[in-house]
Amino acid sequence: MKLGELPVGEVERLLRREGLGLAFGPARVRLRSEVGALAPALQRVYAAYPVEAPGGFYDVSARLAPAGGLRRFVRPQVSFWLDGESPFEPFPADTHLPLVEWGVNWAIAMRLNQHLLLHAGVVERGGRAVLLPALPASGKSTLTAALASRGYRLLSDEFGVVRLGDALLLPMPRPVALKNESIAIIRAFAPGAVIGPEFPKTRKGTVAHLAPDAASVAARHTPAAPALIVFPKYTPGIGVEVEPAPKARAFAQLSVNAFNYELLGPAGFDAVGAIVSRCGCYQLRFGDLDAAIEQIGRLLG
Amino acid sequence: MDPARALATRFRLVQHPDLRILTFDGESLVFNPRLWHTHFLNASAGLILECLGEAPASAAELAALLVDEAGRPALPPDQIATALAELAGLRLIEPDDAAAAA
Repeated sequence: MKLGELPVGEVERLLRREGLGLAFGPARVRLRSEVGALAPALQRVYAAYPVEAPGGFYDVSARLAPAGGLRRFVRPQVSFWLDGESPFEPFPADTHLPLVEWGVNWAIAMRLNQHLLLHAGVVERGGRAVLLPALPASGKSTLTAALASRGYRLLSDEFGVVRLGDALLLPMPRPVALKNESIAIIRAFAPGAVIGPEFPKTRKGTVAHLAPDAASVAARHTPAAPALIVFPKYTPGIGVEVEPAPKARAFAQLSVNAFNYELLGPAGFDAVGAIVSRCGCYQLRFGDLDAAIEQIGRLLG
Repeated sequence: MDPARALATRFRLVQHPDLRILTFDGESLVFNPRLWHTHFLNASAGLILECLGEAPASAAELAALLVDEAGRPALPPDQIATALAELAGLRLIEPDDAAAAA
């Protein structure tokens, strides 16, 4: 059964007891929570995900719990626990979903080292994947969300998961974290998009999560071949500008922004080299989402 | 190794199963397994490495190999020796033992 089809009380029960199992493509995750408000938020942004049968191996087993001490009474906080350890400072209790998303991202980045993990949005159309690697505040998430709302399959907003050996991209279609003005931009750009609750005053400002569409979730075990690398940069006031990126520079940008390139050594080098060899590489400055999407479509062919 | 000594030395590419070299549009990327690091090399250094991958060579021999379209030397031996010294410092190349033994 899909998470969105379960009664919220059952989701709360799962979170409090045996845990809620979700398979994000290459990562199997179990979530537990003593924070009741997390259940409806998770249901909204992971609605299309089948609930995994309990048991078996989990790549990430995480728990959200109220922080102890006097914080229980004044401005309550919640802590993210990972296999009995709490790697972060507690967050305000009303930012439960962002904490879960960041915590799970962190755990995946630390643990999924059987794959190369690029820091990139990834979408796919016609079997050809577009990698959108970028630094924070480049408009990566906004552009990824916009592409996903215009018929592209969402593979990920955060991780370009590259399978070592064949350099295919493995999907991990989790909610797209929209921040600040991007939330209103995507609401206006895709009025039918399902966006979870807004969480103001997080460490990154206001955050809301765009739910992955059902088709992307259903195809989360189907890899895609990399075809295009686009380094986006949101630039207000322009439509769209594109220029080829030299491949050696593209290699450098991909590897520097990867989560585990250094750790993987020659295997990481081979994977980045295979992707760059196969892909057209471009720098894209954009101020207009429709123009950017049209340009990416032309580049993809 | 200083360039003067490099000028008089015959070098070869290090032999290591994890050494990787890729070239895109004249720029080379090298995974160096001894330093566990990726280097981005300019065109000259990349060509020198490529030549040494084919066979050991000295700066003078490389100068004879690296010629432009008109057959003129693309790089003078002292400039090649400087590059060789730097590549040796990165442990990507090493003196050719066979030449030393001879």
